[in-house]
Order: sequence, then structure tokens, then C-alpha cells
Amino acid sequence: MASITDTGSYEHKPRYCVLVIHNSVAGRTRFHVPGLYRNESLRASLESKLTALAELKFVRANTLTGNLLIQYAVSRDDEAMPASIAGVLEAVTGCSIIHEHVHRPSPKPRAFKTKEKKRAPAATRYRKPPYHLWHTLAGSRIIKLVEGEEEGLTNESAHQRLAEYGPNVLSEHRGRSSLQIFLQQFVSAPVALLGLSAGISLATGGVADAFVIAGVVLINSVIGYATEKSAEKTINALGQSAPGIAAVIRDGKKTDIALTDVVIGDILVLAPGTYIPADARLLKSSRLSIDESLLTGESLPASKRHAFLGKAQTALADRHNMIYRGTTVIGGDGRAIVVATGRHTEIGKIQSMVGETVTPETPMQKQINEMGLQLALFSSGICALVFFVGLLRGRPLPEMLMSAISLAVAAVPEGLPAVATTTLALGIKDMQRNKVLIRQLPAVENLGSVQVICLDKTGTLTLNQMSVVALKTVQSAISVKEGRFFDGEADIDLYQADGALQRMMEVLVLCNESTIAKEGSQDLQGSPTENALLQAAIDAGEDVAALRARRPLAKVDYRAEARPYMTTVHQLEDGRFFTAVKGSPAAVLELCRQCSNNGHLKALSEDDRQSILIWNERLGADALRVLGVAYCMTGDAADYKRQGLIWLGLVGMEDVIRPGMEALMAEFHDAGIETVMITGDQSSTAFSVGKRLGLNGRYGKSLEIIDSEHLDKLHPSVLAGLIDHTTIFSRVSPAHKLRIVKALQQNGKVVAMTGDGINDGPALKAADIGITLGEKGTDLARSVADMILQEDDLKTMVTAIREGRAIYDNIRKSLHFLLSTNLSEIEVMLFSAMIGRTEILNPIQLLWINLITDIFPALALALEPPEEDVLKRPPRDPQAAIVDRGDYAELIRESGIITAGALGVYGYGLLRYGPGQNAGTHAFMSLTLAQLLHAYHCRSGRTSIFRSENRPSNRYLDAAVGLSGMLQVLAAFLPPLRRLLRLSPVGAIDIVAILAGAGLPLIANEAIKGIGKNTFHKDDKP
Amino acid sequence: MITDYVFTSQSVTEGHPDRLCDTISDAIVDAYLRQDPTARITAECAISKNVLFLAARYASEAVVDIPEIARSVIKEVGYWPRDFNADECAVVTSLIEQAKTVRETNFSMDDELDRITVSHQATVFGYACRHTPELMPLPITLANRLSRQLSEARRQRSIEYLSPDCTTQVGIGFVNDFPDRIHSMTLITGCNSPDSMPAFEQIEEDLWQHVINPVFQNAAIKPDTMTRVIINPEGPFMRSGPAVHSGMTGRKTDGDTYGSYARHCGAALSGKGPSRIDRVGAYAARYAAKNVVAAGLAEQCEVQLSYTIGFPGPVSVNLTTKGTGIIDDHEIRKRLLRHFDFRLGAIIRDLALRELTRKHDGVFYQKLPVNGHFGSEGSLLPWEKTDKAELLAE
Repeated sequence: MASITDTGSYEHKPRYCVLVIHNSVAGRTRFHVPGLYRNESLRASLESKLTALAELKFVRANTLTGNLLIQYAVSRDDEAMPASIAGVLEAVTGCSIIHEHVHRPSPKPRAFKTKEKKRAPAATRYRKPPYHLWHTLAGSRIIKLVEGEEEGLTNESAHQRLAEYGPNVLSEHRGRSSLQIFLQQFVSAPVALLGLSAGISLATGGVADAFVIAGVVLINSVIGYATEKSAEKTINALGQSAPGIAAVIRDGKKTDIALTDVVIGDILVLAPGTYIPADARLLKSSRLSIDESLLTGESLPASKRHAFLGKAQTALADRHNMIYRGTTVIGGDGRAIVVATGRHTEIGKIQSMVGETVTPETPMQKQINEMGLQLALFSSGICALVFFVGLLRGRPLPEMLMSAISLAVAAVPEGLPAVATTTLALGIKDMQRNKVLIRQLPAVENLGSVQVICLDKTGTLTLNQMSVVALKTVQSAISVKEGRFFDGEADIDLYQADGALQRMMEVLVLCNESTIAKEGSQDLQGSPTENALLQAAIDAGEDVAALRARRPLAKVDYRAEARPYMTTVHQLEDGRFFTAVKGSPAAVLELCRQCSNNGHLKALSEDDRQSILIWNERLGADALRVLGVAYCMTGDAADYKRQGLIWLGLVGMEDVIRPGMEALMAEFHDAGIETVMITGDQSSTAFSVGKRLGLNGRYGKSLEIIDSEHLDKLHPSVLAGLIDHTTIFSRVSPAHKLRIVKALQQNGKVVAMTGDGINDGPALKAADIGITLGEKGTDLARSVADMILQEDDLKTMVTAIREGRAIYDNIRKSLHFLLSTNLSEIEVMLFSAMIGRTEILNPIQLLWINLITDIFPALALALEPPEEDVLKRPPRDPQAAIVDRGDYAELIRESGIITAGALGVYGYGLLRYGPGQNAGTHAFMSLTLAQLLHAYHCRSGRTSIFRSENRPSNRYLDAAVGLSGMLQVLAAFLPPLRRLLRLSPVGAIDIVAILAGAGLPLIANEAIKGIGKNTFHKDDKP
Repeated sequence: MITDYVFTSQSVTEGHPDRLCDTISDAIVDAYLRQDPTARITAECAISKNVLFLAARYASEAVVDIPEIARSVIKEVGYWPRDFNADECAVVTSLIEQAKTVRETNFSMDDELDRITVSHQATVFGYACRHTPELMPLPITLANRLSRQLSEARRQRSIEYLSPDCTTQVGIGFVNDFPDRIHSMTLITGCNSPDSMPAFEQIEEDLWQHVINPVFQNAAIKPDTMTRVIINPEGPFMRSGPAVHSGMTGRKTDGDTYGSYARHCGAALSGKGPSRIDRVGAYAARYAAKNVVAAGLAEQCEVQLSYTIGFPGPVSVNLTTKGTGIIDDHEIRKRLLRHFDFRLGAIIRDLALRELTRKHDGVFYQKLPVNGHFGSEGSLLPWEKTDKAELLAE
């Protein structure tokens, strides 16, 4: 891509580089030398300098064509040019040499070219950086080309370059300005229609109408602006956590500088997790692998090596010696020299090609927009129908035009996209309050449909902290929980129970590298295992400092290759020596001749050994780590080996499960979400943890475990076939998590995955929801995750899922409300057109209904609290349409009932007052109120006003309906407003009729919901 | 009645996938019994390419790293790494943990044994005949011996290119219902590395020298000039083991028992702990039949035991000597019932099935699929003892 765009520009601009244009005949090379055209002096100097070189047989420079032909003295089969020739050429011409590689302009580049021309950026004040096919050149040449140093730039020259080439930023993307958002409210089809109808009103003398319409437009726009503005703010804040600093070498030292200050020639220091700030050529590398999925779409990490030399046509993904901005180091380390920054980087070019970054729409938003369009077409059709039927009935054209347009305005659910965006944005904010940070908008939607959640065992389900859980002496087996000791169920005093245990604790204190951080503090300093052992001794009542002071250390033998145990020898007060040993149980047992049975020494029999080894196997399979503990007392410090040790017992340690995880798993299962645990542990440990967590579900189905260190050797389709019933993956390395995600997705599952390490990156990105823990997660994990649980607490995940499901539900509720009420308006108007006499609702009334019923209740429905059973339902089908066939039938039924109510009241008005404004007024009043009340119907598909089932009320909805209701009352009783809407006064009996016309549809609809619900339940439980 | 015929039996070596699955299943049984002699365990295993499926149902305090056991068994078999690599294979386990029942109790009092009822319905058979000193049919004995010698030759590195996955078949000519001569012998060998394939003549020579001759060295019947010895008629297998064919527990029950020379229950023997009657019943029936023949009561004897769920003992004990008995079969059955207790609890107790693993340094059942459940010479399987022969003879 880079080469293509570049060739394009070479054709129009003076060439700055010496181009190798013909290299195919062995032994000769033709160059194009800029400035050689009609330049005799350059020709002379080129020819003389080059002929002087021993490698060349023949040199000729042509001042007419600007070409230089050289012929080598010895035939060369490699393509590379001797450095001496390149050096001379560069020295004489002052340009660098590159290979001309595209001779045939293919159609594709042209397309790019025109595109680029169209959006040709205004001349920048920065110099265009040099461009070469970096991947084809050796590292040392590149250092020269970018005028860098292997030891990095000096600060001074870096500043100079920064001023010259500009900061390392991609084309600046600014969100829409406030004014833009506001103005955009006016450029929409409904507003255009409204403008048209205002024009017609003016033309037909309805100045007041025109003002009302203008008012409606303004109010609509203000509300739209307010909601969109805040939504935009929330959504734009997503995903902005690319690291802001880069590690480079400046003045010979490794320095962290701002990402934007990286300049060409800077030496980047690469380490696992490094975010690559600019395109660079590797100078050094050691087992470097890089996640380039951002650029290439390939989610498996690409391995890189500095020694690689590419050809001109080498594809971007295969340029193993280049690293590109926006990618991240997964493993290994290296150094690289920056060759392009800012918008000259590959990612920058792509970005300038696709234009500004726009927040992509989520599938649901797309679906809603599409549906909105279809509905708009549908209602336009209806409007046309109303219009023509009216005309046929002999009504005046302007009047019919007005009412058709007003109906169009009222019927088009213009609030649709805003509802979705607003609801998503509000949900994101709500989750932030619950310490869940959403980084990608689609994640919110996916949260509602998550079917499988893959969980890391270590650190996510467990505390990643060792602690002693079991002690086994010859006599007793003791379990340890939260610093207390149990024999079976009984809480015991350790030292009373078994005489061997005190010695054991002493050994654990003495033969231990951990220290207490500060006098009197609880913190231990040392490795997790050592800390766990020391903590157990402290819990048992040992005074670490005193014991260590009493028995000063005489000698230490650490674990070594052939010695899987640690030995410390301590001086006793009586001059003898105490030897403490801990380590691999089998090895320690080998050294023992006796054992301590409740404090009394006895010889170790074969049976004793056997039983100890069996316990070792059992604990080893159950706990994570088992150590054997032994001691002896000798007269001489080096004597213990000869004398033999005294076996004390086994200590089992494990990584403790976080509290509350079992309940959490049950919550996931209740919500129809499968849990999958991924661990590097052996399968028996995984099994025991899985069982304790209740991963096999409430009904205790079998626990399926896939145990494989080499998941990559398993054919993906085999894995996909196996994975559906698998609850645990054991001995899996994080690098293979990607395969698990892919296999699950292949089976059509929506997958959430937790991860916090660098090599979790690809899996997190591939998962529908990548989750990382805020405190534990590495920068890389945080930058690719869709969600960050800020308090490292997986429990917030449940909140997030509830929220996600509620958001989806609420959008559906809003949609339901908007669609059913708009349908009722259409139906009334259609009926009105059919019966022919005067129209039931006039345009201003339609606009009014649109204004007071569409916006506030719909927005309030979007704020519904989650329903009670939201976490007891299975996740929604991600493929299902947001409004399906059944929903449309329901919408038509509900709107039909509302319409029937309004028409009933209209009929009553006709009967009582005869044709005229009165009947229309009644219909208007009852339709508006019925629509407002309908919002309560839309609150839930399950609970109804009859069976609230303790559903918390939605005060936003109460307020919205109250406010709108009050406006409606004002419309009826405030004379100026009444005149504007052309309403006639209503009497007491009329009010009763109107209320009946508004209330009865709600009751009817709710009753039908109740019936539907009951039958549903019957079906549900046969 | 036709009494002159040829009978063939076949056997496979330790690396055959079916045999491997049997061994893994029994290694798991051993692992549980090692830690907890009263454990109940059923393990089944299937293998294909580089996936090993393991289903285990158990009631035990023992904690066992099942995939690790499976891997160590595979490693021990020693496939050519390019064919099958223990570390790289994925092990899929499906585990169900159950509560122990009365069956998993060690009773010593005789009347308590009635509380141990069987949990599977099974009709099991035991057989013995005078073909060999171990009182086993000759065809399967020879086939098994050839298989074992193939493994031995590989382990001793006397034939380096041999893969652990080979099959053998022996046909015995019978005259008057008694083995007369070796009719034929077929050896199919897998080759460990296709790059260094030896010539056919080399293979033939090696097999004669290191496999066939040692097996028949001290045998009563040796191959004669008319014996057809068939070696790799379709060429040796270039690749072998799980990489080319899949395997499952319990698919070599004929080789496990009497090589189809006598009836055998279709149920697998491997992968079942001592509380499974379909395994231990077969052992008890063999124990009974062998003692009948050892007592000199008959030339051959087949004992049939039928068990029904919920009963502690068999609902039917039957036997046939096919007319070779020196006394009436009814009388033999009477003596059997007098001296043998075929209740599940009694079998477990009398053959000390729960303690065997610990007694044999933690590995007992695991060796059975390869060494043979019955008749294997040299080893002391409790159901191969003839300690009741004298009692029966009286």
C-alpha cells in the first residue's frame, strides 16, 4: 500500500532519490539520477568518481535522459549493490538510492491516487520525511538514511526534528462541535417536512400554524441536541487509553518521552507490552513477537527479526524486520529505529485514506437505523394514501397536503436512533458508577447476549496468593482455613493436637527466606510460597523474630539442580546444631531415617514411607504445592547427612479462591451463561477448584476438562467440536486462549474472556467482550479490552451483565412505545381519510401529540430499572431482530386498541355534538392520554399494572407522563393554547368519556398481556 | 461333531490404541486404589489422532491427576514422537464424582457380605483347559506370547525399528479336539521411522531370531515345515499407533480372555474397580474353572455365573465340561458351590482385590491388559491360584 501511494506521488513531483530502474540484465544497472538532466558537471563528476572504483567496468551518465548506466567488473548474482558504489552515488548526488519497483500502474493504485488527491491535505508546515522501502535495506544503511545514531538521538537534534517533521500524531480527529450537533438536528427528513408544512401554512395564511411548527422544530432540536451532546461525550471518551509515553534512547540513555515527541531517527526500546509509537526498522531483536492484528487483521502474533531483508514487493504482514505504529510487543525484546512518524506511518496512511475516525455503529444501532428507514417509507406510503383518499373525497388540496405532511412528521419515529444512542450512553455511565469501565460501544450490546464467560483461574478466580491449606504429620491430617487449624470439623489448638507440629512450625520459620517487613507489621517480604509457610507458623503462634534470634543461622544450602530441598543449620544454646530441611517430599523423605510420631521419635518403616508418598500424591493432586519438612539435632554442623533426618510431615499450599466466587458462578449459571475456567494448573487441581466453585452447575453434571499444553496441535474443528461441553481447560498457556475463544465463536457463541497478561491480548481482542482487571491488568490488556473491571472484582461483571441486558430491554421498550403510539396516529388518520368527512385530527394536533408523547416517555422508558428476572433468563439470541414478527403483530394489536378507544370517544362526540370541532377535540384528548398511559404498558413484557410483582417504579416515567399530562390539561383549559390547537371546551361528561377512551385501552392491553403471560407459562411448564 | 479343525486367535501389542486405552483405564483404577483401597472407579478411554477422551466416574477420597496418568502411560509405551506425542496430546476428561455406597465398605464378617449387592447385570464366563501348563487355550496363549515377545524385542532394542503397535495371530490345527500342530502364524509389525525402513528380508530375519524362536524355544508344539508364517503380507505399517487408527477401552475382550476359544462376557475388563461384577465375576469364574481342571475333574471346564442387580450373589451358577468330566457335571457344580463363594463381597475378599494394588507397589491392574488377565506365566494373579483343587478333588 505504501509503495503504491508513493509511486503515485513520484510521477508528479521531482524525484529526490536515485532510482534503480533497470536491474534485470545481469551485470548492469541503470539508475535515474535526479538533477542529471542537462547537467554536464554532475555527469562529469559521476563518471569520474565511479570509474575510479575497481568494481565497475563501465559507467555512462546521460544528461538527456537523466539516467546513469553502470556495468560491474565481475558479474554479480545478488541484487545488492556494493556499498562503495552506493556511497559514491549518494555522495555525488546527495540523494539516497531506492529501487524503482512499480513500472506498471495497476488500476487499483489509480483509485487510491484519485482518492488521495481529492482529500489532498492542505500544505502542511512540516517537511515531508524521506521515504524508502525500509524493509529492503540493511539496518546500518537505515541509520545513515535517517541520519540517526545507534546510540540514539541527542535531545537537541530530536527537538530540531520535531520542529521539522512535526509531532507524532495521526491526523487530528475532532468530534463534532456543539454547533454542528445542533445544526444537524435540522438537517433531517422530518424537519424538512415540517419546514414544508410551515411554508404551506404561511402560503395559506396560517401564520400561527407556521409559528407552532417552528416552535415544534426548535423544541425537538433542543432536546435532540441535549441528549446527543451528552451521549457523544460519553461515547467519545471510550477507548482513549492508548499509552501516552514511549521508551526511546536519547542522549545515550533510555528515556520515557511523550508519544507525540517521537521523531524519525529515535531508537525505540522494545519489551513485552511496549506500544509501538511509530513505524520503525528493527536493529536488534531477540525472539520478538508482535501483535499486528490492528494492521493485518491476523490475530496470531507475528514474529520479527532484525536480520530479515525483504523484497520490494514483500507484503506488509511479511516484513519481518519492520514494526508499525499501533501494534504491541507480545514477547521478546529488541531495538528499532524510527523511520516514519505521525500520519506518514502505515496506520496514519490508512487513516487518512478512510477519512476521519468515526465511532462505528453497533449492530443494534445499524438495525434500528435500518428499521427507522423502512418505517419512514412505510408511513410515507400511508401519508400518500391519506392524501389521495382525502383528495378523492373532495377536500381542498392545501389542507390535505398539510395534514398528510403533519401525519408524516408525527408518524415517522424520528426518535429511534437517538433513543438507542442515548440509552447506550446512559448505560455506560451507569456502569462507570459501578466501577465497570466500558471501552468499546458494542461491548454494551454484547453484554446482553453473552453466552459463555471464560475466566482465568489465577488472579481472577483466585487471589494469586499462596497459603497453607493442609498439614499432614504421621499422626494427624490438619486442614487450615483463614489462619485457623481444623482436625476434621473441629477447631483445634495446633500444639496440643500433635507433638510433631511445633517442630514443624519451627522448621517453617527457620528454614525460610521470608522476612517480616517491619517490626510489628503484618507484611511479609519474600516469595509467595515462603510467605505462606511463614504465615502459617505465625498463625500457629510462633514468634518469628524471637525464634530466629534464639537460633542463629549457621549455614544455608539453597535448592539447587540436583538438590530439590533447602537446608538451614542453626546454632542451639546448648552448643548443638538444629538442622531444618524443607523441599520436595520424596527427596526429603529419602534423607530421613526416623519420624516424629506425636513428638516421639520412631523409625520410619516401609509402610510409613509408602503412606507418606501416597499422601504426597494425594495432596499434590489436590493442592498446588507440597513440601516435605524434616529436622535433626546434631553435635556438628555438617553432621545431618550422616545421621539421617527426622520426618515431620507434609505441608500443602494453594492459591486461595476469592470469597464469593461460588455464588457468582451460580449467578452466571442462573443467567444462562456458561462458565469456562482456564488455568495452567494440572487437571486434578483444576478439577478440585472447579468443583468448589460449582462450575458443573446446580445439577452437578460431569465436569469436562480439556487438558493440553499444546492446544495449537489440536485441529480447530476438533476443538470446536469438543468445546461445547467443556468447563475447564487445564495446563493451557495464555497464548492458546485465542484458540478457545475462536472455537467457541465458531460454535456461534458470544464469548466474554478475562485476561490481564500481555499474551492475553489477542484473545481479549478476539472475544466479543474482552475483560481485564483494572489494577492487575497490564497496559496492553487494558488497551485492547472492551471492559475494565476497575476494582479487580469479578462480581461487578454480574452488574454489568444485568445492566447490559437492561439496556437492550429498555431500548426495546422505547421502540415498542414509539412504534405502537405512532401506529395509532396513522390508524386514526387513515380512518379519518376513509370516512371522508372532516379530518379527526388537524396538523397542529398531530404535531402536538408528536411533541408531548414521543419524546419524554420514550426517553423515560430507556431509564427503566432492570426487571427482576433479568438475571434469571437465558441470554438473548444475538441473531434475533430487535423487533421481530411477533412484536409487529403485538404492535398492531396494541395500536389498534388505542385507536379503537380514540375512535370510540370520537363517535361519542359525534353523537352528542354532531360533526365539528367537539368530536375531534375528544378524539385528540383521548388519543394523547391513551398514548401516555400506554407507556406504562410498555414498561415490561412480563409484569403488568395488575401484577406488578414488586416491580420498582420508574420515577422518570412518572415525571415524564405527569409533565406531558399536565401539558395536555393545559391544552384543554388554557384558552390561547386551546385556540392554537383548535380545540373546543370539554364538559364534565366529556371528560369522563375521554378518560374512559384513554384508560380502557390500557386495561385491555394489560389484560391481553396477562393472558399471553399465562399461556406462555403453561407452555413453559408442561 | 467335528473334532479336527484349525482355530485362530489374535492379539495386539501394548501400543495398539485399543490396548493403550485398556492400559490407561487400568492405570487410573490403580491410581485410585493406591490412595484409597475402597475407592469405586470406572474409567473409560478413547483415543484418536492426538486427542484422548477419558470418562471417569468415581467415589473416593483419592485425588488423582488423571491426564497426567494417561500421559505417563503413553510415554511409557514410547511411540515415535512424530506419530504420537504424550505431551502434545490433548486430554479431554469428563469426571463425575459420586458418593460411596455399602459396596465400597470392607466387611470382614461373612453375614455382612450379603449387604453388598451387584450394581450391574452380567453373565460372565470362566474357562480352563489342558492345552498349556497355565490351563489356557493354546491359540491365544501363543498369540499373546508373540505379542509380548515383540514388545520385549523392542524394549531390549534388539529390533530397533519396531513400533509399539503390532498385531499377531496364531492358527492351531486341532486333532480330536486337542492341539496338534501350528497351522499358521501372522505378524503385522508397525515401523517406527519410515525414513529408515529395513528390507523385507531383514525384518523377516529379525522376527524369526528375536521373536518367533524365543517364543517356541521351550514349547511343546513348534512350528513345522508346513507352518505358514506370514509377516506383513501388505508391507509393514509405515505409521502406527493412535496417529493412524483410533482406540477404545474394552475392544479387545477376546484377547483379554480366551481368544474366542471359549465364551466370554462382552463387557470390558479394564477400567473397572473391584466393585464391578462384570470384571471380578470373570476372574472368579476363571478361578473356579481352573481349579476344576487342576483338580483333574475334567479336561476342560467352562463356568457361567449370572448376576442380577440387587442380589449379592449369582442367580445362576452353571458349568460344562463338554463331556470331558471324570464325574458328572452336576457333582462338579455341587462341589463348586460348596467351596466357592461367588457373592461380590466374597470375591473381593477372597481374591483380596482391593489390596492388590498396594501389595504390588502401586501397580497391579495396569499390567493386566498387556500381560494378560488370565494364564500369564510367572505372575501370581490370585485367580490363577489352584489352591482349591484339592478341596474339589475330594
